[in-house]
Amino acid sequence: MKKVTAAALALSLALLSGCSGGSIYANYREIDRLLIIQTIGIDRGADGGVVLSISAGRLGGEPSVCMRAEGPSISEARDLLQNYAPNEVLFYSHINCVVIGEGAAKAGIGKYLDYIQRSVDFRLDTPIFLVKGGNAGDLVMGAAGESRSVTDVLESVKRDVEQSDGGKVYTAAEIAEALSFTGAALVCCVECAAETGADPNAEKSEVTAIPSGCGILMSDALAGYISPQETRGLNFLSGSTGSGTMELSAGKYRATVSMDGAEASLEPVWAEDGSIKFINAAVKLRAGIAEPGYLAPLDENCLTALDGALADEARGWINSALARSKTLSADFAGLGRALELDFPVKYRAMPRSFTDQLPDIIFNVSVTARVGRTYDLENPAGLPGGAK
Amino acid sequence: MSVLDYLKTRAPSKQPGPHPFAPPYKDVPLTAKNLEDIFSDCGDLQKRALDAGLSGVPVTAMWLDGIVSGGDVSEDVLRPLTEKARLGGAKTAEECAETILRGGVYANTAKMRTSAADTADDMTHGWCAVVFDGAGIAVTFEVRTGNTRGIAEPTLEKSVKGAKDSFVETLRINTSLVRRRICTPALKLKNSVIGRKSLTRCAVMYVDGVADPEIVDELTRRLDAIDVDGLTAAGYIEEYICDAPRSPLPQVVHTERPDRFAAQLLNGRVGLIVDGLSFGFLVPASLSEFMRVSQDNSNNFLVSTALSVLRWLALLIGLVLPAFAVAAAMYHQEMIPTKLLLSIIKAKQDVPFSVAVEVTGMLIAFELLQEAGHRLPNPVGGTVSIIGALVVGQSAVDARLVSPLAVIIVAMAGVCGYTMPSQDIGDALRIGRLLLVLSAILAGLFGVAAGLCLMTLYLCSLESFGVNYMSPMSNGSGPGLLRALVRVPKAMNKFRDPDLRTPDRRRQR
Amino acid sequence: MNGREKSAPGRLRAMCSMVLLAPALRLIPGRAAAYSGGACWLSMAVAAPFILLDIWFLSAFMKNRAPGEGMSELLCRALGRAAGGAVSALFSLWFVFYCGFILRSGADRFISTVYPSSAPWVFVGVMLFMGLAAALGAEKTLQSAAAVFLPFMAAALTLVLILAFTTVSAENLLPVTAADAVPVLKGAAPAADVCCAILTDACFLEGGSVKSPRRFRDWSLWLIPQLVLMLALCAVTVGNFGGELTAKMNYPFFAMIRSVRIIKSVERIEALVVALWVAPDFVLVSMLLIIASRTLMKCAGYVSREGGAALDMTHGRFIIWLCALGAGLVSVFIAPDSFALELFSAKIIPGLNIALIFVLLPACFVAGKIRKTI
Repeated sequence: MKKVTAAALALSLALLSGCSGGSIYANYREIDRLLIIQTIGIDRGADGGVVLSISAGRLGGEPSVCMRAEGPSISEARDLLQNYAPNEVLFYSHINCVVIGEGAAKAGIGKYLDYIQRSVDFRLDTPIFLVKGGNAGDLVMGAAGESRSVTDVLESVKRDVEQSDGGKVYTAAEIAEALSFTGAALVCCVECAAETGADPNAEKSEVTAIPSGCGILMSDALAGYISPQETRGLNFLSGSTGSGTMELSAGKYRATVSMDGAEASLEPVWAEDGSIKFINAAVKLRAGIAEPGYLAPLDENCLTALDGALADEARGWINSALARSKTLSADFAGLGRALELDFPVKYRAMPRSFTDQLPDIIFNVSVTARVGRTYDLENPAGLPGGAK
Repeated sequence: MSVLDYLKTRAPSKQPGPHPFAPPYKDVPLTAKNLEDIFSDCGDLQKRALDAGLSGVPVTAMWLDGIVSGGDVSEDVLRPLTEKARLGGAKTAEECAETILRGGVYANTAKMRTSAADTADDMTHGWCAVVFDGAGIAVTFEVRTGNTRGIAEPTLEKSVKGAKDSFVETLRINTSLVRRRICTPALKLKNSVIGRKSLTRCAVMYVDGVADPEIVDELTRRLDAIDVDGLTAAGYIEEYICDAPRSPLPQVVHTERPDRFAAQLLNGRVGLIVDGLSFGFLVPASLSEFMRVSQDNSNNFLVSTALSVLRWLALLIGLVLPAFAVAAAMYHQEMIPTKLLLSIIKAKQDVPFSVAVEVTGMLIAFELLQEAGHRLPNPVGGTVSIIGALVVGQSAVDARLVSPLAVIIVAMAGVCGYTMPSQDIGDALRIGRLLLVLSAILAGLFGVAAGLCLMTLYLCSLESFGVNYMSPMSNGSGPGLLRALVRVPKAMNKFRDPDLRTPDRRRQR
Repeated sequence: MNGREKSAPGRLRAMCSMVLLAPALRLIPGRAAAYSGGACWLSMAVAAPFILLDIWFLSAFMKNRAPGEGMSELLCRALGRAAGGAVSALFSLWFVFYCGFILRSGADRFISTVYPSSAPWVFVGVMLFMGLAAALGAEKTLQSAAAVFLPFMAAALTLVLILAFTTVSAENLLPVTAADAVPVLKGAAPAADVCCAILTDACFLEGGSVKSPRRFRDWSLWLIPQLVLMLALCAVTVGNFGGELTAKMNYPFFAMIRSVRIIKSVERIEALVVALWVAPDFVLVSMLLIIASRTLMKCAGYVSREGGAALDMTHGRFIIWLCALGAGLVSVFIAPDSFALELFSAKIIPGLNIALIFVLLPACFVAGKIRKTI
């Protein structure tokens, strides 16, 4: 038996060798020839094809490499890009971000999601960004500079969105799953902007990306946008605030508050036929004063006013976002899933789907806010009897 | 036919007496002249013709210079023989011999011999023979010299808290070291002689009632089947008594520590001590036994367990790391973190060789340095190895012949190999490592996994005296792997290893 | 001097645990999600009573076996030499066929996940030769090897599942209502199919193991961690992707592994996890070859001998080579494309399994009881 084990090993090695066609060795890549692609941008081409732009990873201090090519499909565009780099092998397995241009999104991103799902290189948890009012290629190519690349920019945006706003950058899997469940999904939006403080002596100003709310996808095509404020409102509705700040103004009282947390609940009111008549959404927000805008003692009146201002502001955002949802008849906020989780029996017994009922549902949004913490200082510094 | 089959079919042809096989002078009459002829051209043969006793019975004292103690010969043999009154009124050779045996001569061990072959055998083992020519008898006295290497500290199996003695080349000293630790008559010692020319003495040691009698019998049978000229190295014993002599893996535990030897006898193993070899052998063996050190029994159980896990981890890392690195660098670059991958790409920019060639080349260079270190004298060897490694490694990186990653990978794997308690396992690890690198070059992680599966299958096919080589991990019971990794607190370790099939499983109450 | 005792039953169960991993990953959670959507994780628990029933049936079948007897001997006793031999031979052919399918589907898995530029024959060839090497050796050796692999597989799977669990969304798994009852029941079919097949295969190998007096209890206890594993596989995969997306994928578990990150540093470990599955495939292929060849040897009247030289064709050992050749041919011709492979995976193999395990075997048992021979 031991001889056979050795023979099996020898034969296996022979089989595995490059002598036989289609061997495993065909998957070999020279590591020093790899060009590590970290971000790809997808735009719609002139004839309905694909314009693929890529940004390759770089070590600190090195300029990033960007390329763009157009082809009838993503695969063919990839092949064309490879032709532009004959000495290197474009390696797509380290892709961190996918950027889709507005034009491509309006035509439908279903085929791109399908490509991501099908490809061995891509991960389903790759975050997707949508460029509002622009092309992905402009962002990918424009953000490349001496000291950074579009990957750095988008990772910064991702951190910003997640930590400050309590939101999220939706991944390919989440978008695909939401589209299949509700027919609608959100995708994180960015806008291209010239970077402030760019070197005036540079040949071209560097482009950066600014978070700009979310795009609404319906049946995989872009149907509209919600603003950054509306996005935050939806985050509040899901109980997430991040640690971002809000500017509040209530008469003579002004302050910048830092969000601490939120709790939200949805209570549907069912009609006799089993459909939903009302949804009472109750949101409780907590915040702390980061910067008082008015140099006066922070007394009860001030805090009460700020509570009201915060609640009003948040309520406005939430209502605005829900109105969008009703107008488009798109449950991009995931309310249906939340209701199904809490009221499974009644939800499944509804005569029409939640999405169909959405335009008729009345949302009663109540927001209570508490600006509680004032951190170390109970009163602005410099006032008599103020700082402790 | 395999070696083992050959040994199994070979019937031992033991002769009565100490000789394993009949020497050519088997039937020669016992006289001083014949003994001289047997030892012709032996410049160390010494003889004294004496008249013993009041009646002056002619005797010849013969011995081999160098292996006897001259003082003992003079004081304990020659002097009593020449003190006429000591032997009383013995008139004949037989009476004289009888009186000598009954205490007429001081020596503690005396034997009556009637054949020249047995007398010559005793002389070659440091005995002094007093030959009564006319009667054809001789009395031999053990007067072996004490000029042997003294008991020293172990050189390979060092221990902080354990005993500091180790085996030496003398059989009886070694058996005494074990006897001191197991002070019971149940510690049995079966003597045996191997080698037609070397007549090497060996002793099978076991604790009666603890060791499986079948293992004892099997070991004895395999020893009896050995028919060689001489037994001068450990390989003669190991390759003849193991189940798979062609396997690069060790299948007989050897230790230079009497405390470990005794502990294993009490666990149910059977030991073998060979004259001229400064370690003891233990069977059955398993991979987990080779991964243990005697220090484990001295340390706290948690510390021992952690170190045991570390050793096993080192075994895996030493075996798999180069192959894993090659596979990741050649086929699965997506597994490498992005920053590290960019760094590797930059470092490999001007290196002309592929990762496969780099790692294989570095492995071979590492083996060469290691071998060179073994050959060099002690004062120089260590220094040259270190300088060689540093200079070669550093120079190779500076000259862009290899990338730093390859050097680090190979060095780590090498260090992990050095943590193996058994040098034999470390040597086998080197072969396995190279084979896995070859599999990785051809097929990436699939090749590595396939290679590991085949290696595991091979390991599981090995047995040592009926015990699976991979036990207790191959038992299929949950605690199997834990028993290999974990050192249970002494108070909880109530039973002996079930794989050794001991008649008495309970170790303590 | 060889090991005197027969293989311990624990080794056989360890081998069965390893063998379960290969088909479990192929069928669960994709197929379970296709039947029962987000509630497919419950299907694993629902499958338990059916599998326990099968364990009870097999225990009743094996209850009166003599030492050294396995299922093939019992079939001969139950039906008589001729009919029993024919049924045993049928099972052997089924094992050879299934082995060929496993070789092919395993190759497809490697190509789909990690080695896209390769042809399947390399993987088929290597696996087949590895299986042949094991089949030419002793059964005990393969079982020992499986027992050695198992803790490592368990540790790796546990780590991966824990990491993947951190990204599970409860909305994808819940809620579960009464309306899900029938789909959940349907979703239990793949799990029941896989477990019952392995339990039946184990019966053919029990001749080499010490007879256990509490067979039903032992195998029932064995079932628990297997069901927990399958439940975790389902829950984690569907929890990450949702039922619909999971059902669409060929290898959803490996797609999920692609997203697993360890301390945000190590990513894309799917190649490593896919490579780990070489071990279950190897054990499964070897086990099937061993069962098929030993059973055919017994049908042909040979007394099988443990171990032996590689090219020793005496004592019926040429049958091992024939079985390997058969499995190789099946793997080459079974599925010219992925659609055919999917058809075999989803319909033909489970159907044949059901026919043999749930129809033919009980019929043999009943016949044996009527004839009062078992």
